[in-house]
Amino acid sequence: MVSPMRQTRRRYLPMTLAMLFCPAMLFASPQPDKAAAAMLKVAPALCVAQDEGPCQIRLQVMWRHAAAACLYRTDNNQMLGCGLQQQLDLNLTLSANLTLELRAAADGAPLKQKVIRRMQQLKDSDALTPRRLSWSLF
Amino acid sequence: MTALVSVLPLLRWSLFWLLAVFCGFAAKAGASTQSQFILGIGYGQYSSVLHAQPNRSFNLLPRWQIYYDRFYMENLDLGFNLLETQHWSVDLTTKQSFDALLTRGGGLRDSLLTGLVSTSKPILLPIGHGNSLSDIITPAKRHFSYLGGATVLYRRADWQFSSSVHQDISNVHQGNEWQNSLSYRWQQPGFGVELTGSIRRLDHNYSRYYLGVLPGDFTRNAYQYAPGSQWLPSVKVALRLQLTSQMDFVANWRREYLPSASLNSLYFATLNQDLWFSGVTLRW
Repeated sequence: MVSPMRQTRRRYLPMTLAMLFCPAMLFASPQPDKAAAAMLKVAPALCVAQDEGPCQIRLQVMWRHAAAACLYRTDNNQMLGCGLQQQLDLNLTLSANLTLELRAAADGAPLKQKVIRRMQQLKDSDALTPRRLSWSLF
Repeated sequence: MTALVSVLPLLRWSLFWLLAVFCGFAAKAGASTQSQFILGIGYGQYSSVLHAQPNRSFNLLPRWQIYYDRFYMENLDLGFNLLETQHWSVDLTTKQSFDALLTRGGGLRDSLLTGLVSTSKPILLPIGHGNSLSDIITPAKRHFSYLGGATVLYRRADWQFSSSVHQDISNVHQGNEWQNSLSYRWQQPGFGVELTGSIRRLDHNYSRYYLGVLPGDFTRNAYQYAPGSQWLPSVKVALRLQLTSQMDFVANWRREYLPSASLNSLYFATLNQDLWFSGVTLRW
């Protein structure tokens, strides 16, 4: 048998907790979010390969950040460019999906990522596979 | 009767293609066409294997590919596909034989005469009074032949194997050829290499016509030579470097090794026949 006093306490407990924590949530100062401050745009986001081989793509990349940042391709950790604000034309070769990552130049902290997806053009099932290469002349 | 015999090859050839065309139109509708015309501009050479004959050079090399439904045309070779899977293809095929080029040159008589003079083989020739050696040498021009047969291809990743059997359908030599090729293709965007090893077997009639001495090559059948069926291996390297979307730099080299038996024919001075070309190709 629960006493009426204990019932009342249970009923008001959530409200009490909310009153205690809400002001803290409302007035808490937000942590500086480096990632949110960085902007990274990459186009196009798809690379369409004609066959099972690698896919070559020309990308337009643009980023902006308050501090110096560098763009990396994550498959081989190659740095593609650095700066506060950059606009680049990149010729890249993909053998699989490729992630480009913007990292802070100072400490290498990741800021933003974009994935370039590699897709393969499906062969027309009716079309024959060419019997010889066009550059195999004789 | 003679007239019938002379039109028989043409009839066979026509029937073959009529059948193929019929099969093609009977195939399902909605066929896709892929065609490409390629013009090679550069420098190439077909090396002479004959005595006293220079190599022949060329600067233009036109090529084309047309694929329509189950038909295809690769330069002068035609094909009709019977079976196509991811890895296998079985085709009825016809092909142009270029072996007549082996004995093409400025003067076949000079080649035979030089071969006759330089051979250590004892050959008795009926030279009478008032006759010179060149009077009894009457080499017959070897004609191009056109072959028909079937080809099986197997592809996996960067490899392709093909085996084809073709019979003369142009009534030039009535011989047949069995060719096997293995190719490795390494292709990158903008760059490619193809390495091919081949071996072909020419039957008795085929090799006698192109590698032997025919009865008419000397007056009164003074000398004949039939090398019998022969195996001819060859290697080929092809390179491609893309320059623009429609232009490539291309280099191709092929060496075919003639059988040593062909030296007995007196025409041939060497057993290595090279064919190469390098230049740019324009594609449409």
